[in-house]
Amino acid sequence: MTRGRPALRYPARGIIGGYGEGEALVTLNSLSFWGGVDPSTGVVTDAHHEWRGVSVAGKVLVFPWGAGSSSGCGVLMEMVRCRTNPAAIINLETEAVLALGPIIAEELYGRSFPIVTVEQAVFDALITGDYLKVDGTAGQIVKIPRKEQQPCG
Amino acid sequence: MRLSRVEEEMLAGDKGEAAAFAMRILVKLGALYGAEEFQSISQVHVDGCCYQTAGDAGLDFAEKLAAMGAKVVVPTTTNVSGRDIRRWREFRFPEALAEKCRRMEEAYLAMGAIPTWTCAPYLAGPLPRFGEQIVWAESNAIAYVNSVIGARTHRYGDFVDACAAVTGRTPRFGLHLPENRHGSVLVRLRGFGPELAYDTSLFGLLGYWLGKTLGSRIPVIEGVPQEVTADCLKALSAAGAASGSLALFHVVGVTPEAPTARQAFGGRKPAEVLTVTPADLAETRNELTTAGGEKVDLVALGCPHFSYAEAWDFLRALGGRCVAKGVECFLYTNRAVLGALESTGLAAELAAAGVRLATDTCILHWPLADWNFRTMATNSGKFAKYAPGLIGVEVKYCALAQCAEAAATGRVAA
Repeated sequence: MTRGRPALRYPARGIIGGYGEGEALVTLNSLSFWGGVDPSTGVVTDAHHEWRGVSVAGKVLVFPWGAGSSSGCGVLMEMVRCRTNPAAIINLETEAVLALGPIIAEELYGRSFPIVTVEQAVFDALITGDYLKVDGTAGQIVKIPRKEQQPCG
Repeated sequence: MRLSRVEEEMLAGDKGEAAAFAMRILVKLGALYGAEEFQSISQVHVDGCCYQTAGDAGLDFAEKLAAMGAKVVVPTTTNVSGRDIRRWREFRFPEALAEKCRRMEEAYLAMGAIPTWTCAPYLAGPLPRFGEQIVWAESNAIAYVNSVIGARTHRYGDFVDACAAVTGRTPRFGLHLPENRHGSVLVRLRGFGPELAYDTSLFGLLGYWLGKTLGSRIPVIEGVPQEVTADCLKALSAAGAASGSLALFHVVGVTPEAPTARQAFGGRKPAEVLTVTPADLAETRNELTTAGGEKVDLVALGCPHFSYAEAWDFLRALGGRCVAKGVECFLYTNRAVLGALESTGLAAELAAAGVRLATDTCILHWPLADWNFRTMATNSGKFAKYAPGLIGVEVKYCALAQCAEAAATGRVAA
């Protein structure tokens, strides 16, 4: 599906190491996991969020920063336990509230997902529907643009 | 990170399996934030003890730590449980869920935590003094203790709080450091009347607006009357930490790190100056009010847990009226406040008026399918933000007096 389209590479700062890939979901709004995402399904329930009803499971989530309750970390751990966690998270700024989720999940379940931060220019280059490969250990994002962005179809 | 001899020993497992497990997580946290060393802390408020919030992963964590023989080494208070521990049956709370809540409570009690079960630990004690280094989790409590008391905690997530309680240590980073506590955005309030000293619902709106607008940037707020109530600052803390990442705010002439705006900014110039007017907050009120019409069948109060003064004000606003037929009015508080309300007879008066008092928890954690609620009136920005998504009710955001009106009549003027 993504074969033949040119890949673009961007630098990123690895907050949590590891590798994850998937389709990008991009928002300019912050996201609160507690009270905002149902961990059993990965579906966003926050009535005030543009992703309401959308599943974040297996997606690469691109949002500026976290918001909301300090229980967000537990929701991320529970998502890892239920295997509904995002494939990776890309932020402008990552808070302890988020980063602790995958750290503790790794201790409890021996698996987790990467979180990276990027500069504003990189953040702006990511679009919902892009296919993103996120390497938190090497500090790199590879983007395979979604089809309609291709100049010659 | 530089580790002291004791910290090295903990990490190596010389102080037991639990301390090593906790230290591994704390070292990773410190590395993430570029901390150079650890520091001692004097108390902890743990937030990971509500089963409905922490889930089975949170229960796995607590039971694993307790099974390793973990004991807290500093006074440690507990945030809400998922249930009213003494009266859950009265609230149609399912047996199986109560059992999971009980296991979670047991795990933290086994570690030696104080059973405060409250999101308002600043209304239950033990309280830190100004400048004291502490680890508090629960977002509203963090904002309150940092801003109003001036103790120092970063914005912690669940579970690392327990790691700090078991080791008595946390990395030195973020809001623990004085240089990170200065304001960056000046927020001027314009056009408000004297209600800005006591209307908690206005501060819920202001907090919601600030959290949404500023993310984690630290505001310095100008124009709040010096006699503003602690409950107003509590409402601001909760709403700002729900809509954004507010973990510290300064109110010029009111909060301890802001005797003057200049001091609050640490002598630097504000990066941005914003003005907030009643019109801005009216817009926020519309955003939080998802319900149309006037009818209300639920009034929920106490997010964060109600203070004595708030419960008293509500009773006065009811003015001798009872909760109307077809309306439920829940008032959530903690056991310390309930004790005070009982000792003066206010708890009995509230109960006689049909107000249902609950402790240890709040409505956001309750399965409400059996109740068939449609529309909730509340004066809490945090309840308003979370209720539609978490418990599936529409919201009427209103001041405390209107909440009393809604309880007594089942209606709120549109």
